[in-house]
Amino acid sequence: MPPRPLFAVLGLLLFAEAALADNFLRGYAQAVIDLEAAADSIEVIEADARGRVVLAPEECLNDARREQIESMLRDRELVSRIEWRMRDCEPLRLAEGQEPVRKTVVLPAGDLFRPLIADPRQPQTALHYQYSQGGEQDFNAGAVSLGEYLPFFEFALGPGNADVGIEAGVFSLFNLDASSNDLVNTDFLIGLPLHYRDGAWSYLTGIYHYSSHLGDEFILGNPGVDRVNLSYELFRFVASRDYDRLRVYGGGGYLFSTQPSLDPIALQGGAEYRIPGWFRGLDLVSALDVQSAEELDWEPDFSVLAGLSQRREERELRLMLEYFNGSSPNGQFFDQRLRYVGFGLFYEF
Amino acid sequence: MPVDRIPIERATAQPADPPQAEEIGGILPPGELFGPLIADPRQPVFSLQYQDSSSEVQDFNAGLASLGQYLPIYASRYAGGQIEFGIQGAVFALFDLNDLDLLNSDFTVGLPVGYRRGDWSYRTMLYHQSSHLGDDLLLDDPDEQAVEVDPDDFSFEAVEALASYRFSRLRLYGGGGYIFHSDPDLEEPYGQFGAEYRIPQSAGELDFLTAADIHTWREHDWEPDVSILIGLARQREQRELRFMLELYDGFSRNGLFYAERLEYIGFGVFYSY
Repeated sequence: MPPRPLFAVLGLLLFAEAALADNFLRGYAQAVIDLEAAADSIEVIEADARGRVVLAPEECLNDARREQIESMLRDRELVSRIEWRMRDCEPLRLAEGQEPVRKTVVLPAGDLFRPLIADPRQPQTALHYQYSQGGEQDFNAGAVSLGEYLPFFEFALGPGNADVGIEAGVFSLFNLDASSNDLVNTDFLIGLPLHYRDGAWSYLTGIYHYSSHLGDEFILGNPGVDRVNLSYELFRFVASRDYDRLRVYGGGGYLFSTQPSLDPIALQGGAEYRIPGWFRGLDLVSALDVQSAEELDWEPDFSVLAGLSQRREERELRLMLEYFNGSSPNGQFFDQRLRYVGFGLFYEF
Repeated sequence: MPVDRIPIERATAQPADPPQAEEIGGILPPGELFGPLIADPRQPVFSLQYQDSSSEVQDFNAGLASLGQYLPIYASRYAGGQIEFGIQGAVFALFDLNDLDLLNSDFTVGLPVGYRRGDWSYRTMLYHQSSHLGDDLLLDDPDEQAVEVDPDDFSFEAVEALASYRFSRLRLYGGGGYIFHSDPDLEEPYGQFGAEYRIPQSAGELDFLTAADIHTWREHDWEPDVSILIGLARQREQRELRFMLELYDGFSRNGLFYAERLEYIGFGVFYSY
């Protein structure tokens, strides 16, 4: 297990670098706006490494002009999300019957709260190879996950925006050493989250259901196996703060309706760091997720990812090296220690 | 909006040339040149479905959860049209809602190549499907199981080719496939054809949508498996939410129960990117 002080030092160094480093995207977006829309007097007041920029025009802009500015910035593929700060805009500038700037959006992009990319149970679409060490023997594992956040509505809430939807994922583990690549375990997750963003802060809260199932080939190959039949409901809260290239988050959850009986408290924290355009237009991405549970005596589970990312608008393809050390995230084996190294290919909308 | 889901205004516009390559070409394109088959029970999509089912064994209330997507990787101009390469994957999990037992999980992964020129689009795909019995079904008392248990493997690899033509509101498609490797040993050829009809913004922002898919397989002496969906859809950019009534009559598409006839009526909520 990596020494805790090392992670603390790395975290401080990353934070310092992020705080002192030039805001590449912010400067880039400002340069584009100053070159092509100087008359609108727009200041780029925030930007982050995921391509989000926040624009503050000196005067209110109507919908048509905002769309022109957004189209101009989106043509530069580093920008994927654009937010406007025009709180003091008077509706008098809008044509009669025209809707105000902040309105409820049906089927929005759903990126107010970015996925936790190092969380082994983040609903996302990915293929993994993992050389696993744990339980009775080492084995070559393949893991497939399919999942997404499916947003339904986005609406203004206080100073920021919120969205609601369904988050669902399936996580299947296969033993690649078996002649038929036996299905070992499948975890299902479904949740009803609410996301909220106000500037650089974003939040997730919601109720999740989690259930775990042994693979049929695993059962047939291990007669008399003691199935755990794990399932529970989880109330979850996570807060996240974006800096220039760094994101840090923390929170936890409360388990209830558990089977078998489990202690209720779980904690989670982590960080993500991204250098846009690091190599031939590819981003360098690294991420750390740490979780601990009362049920497992607060022993931390570490998940570390590092790799390259290709982005285009809201789509992203990541190739990541992976390291995990902790209690197995595969539900049926949750009380067993697991360590793996491997790589994964992730596709995010 | 996905290229293959075009509203009536664009559908009737001339000429029928494909959109500019700059719109859809390159790495991670918007997708998808060959639109999803809405009534195909094994179309990768996110969905929750309730099915009042009647099989050869007994009647039961089934829930189906599917998680799947088509992931476009690369697109470019080709031969006067556009060509696109991607990957798609999905899992289809069938539950007995009486006790929430997991009955069957089908996993699919495919490598489709799509091509579009005007109102014609084509897809050829190499794909794999494997099926797994639910642990609840294997470990529960056999006397209480909803269906017979036969935990043999069911998996296959196949290649398929489909062509599609879009009129103003109507889409027709047809083609077939060939299973070249399977366990157990399955008959190789199958056919598939269907139709989709959409009335954009027929109820406010909602589209009226109806679709039918017919699957025939020499394994079942070419008896048709018919899937019909009717409902409403809401589109926004690449995303679509559909509320659909469902009818099905044919052989079960749940892999390990492929030899059983199945009828169901139900409804589902579908979310696609």
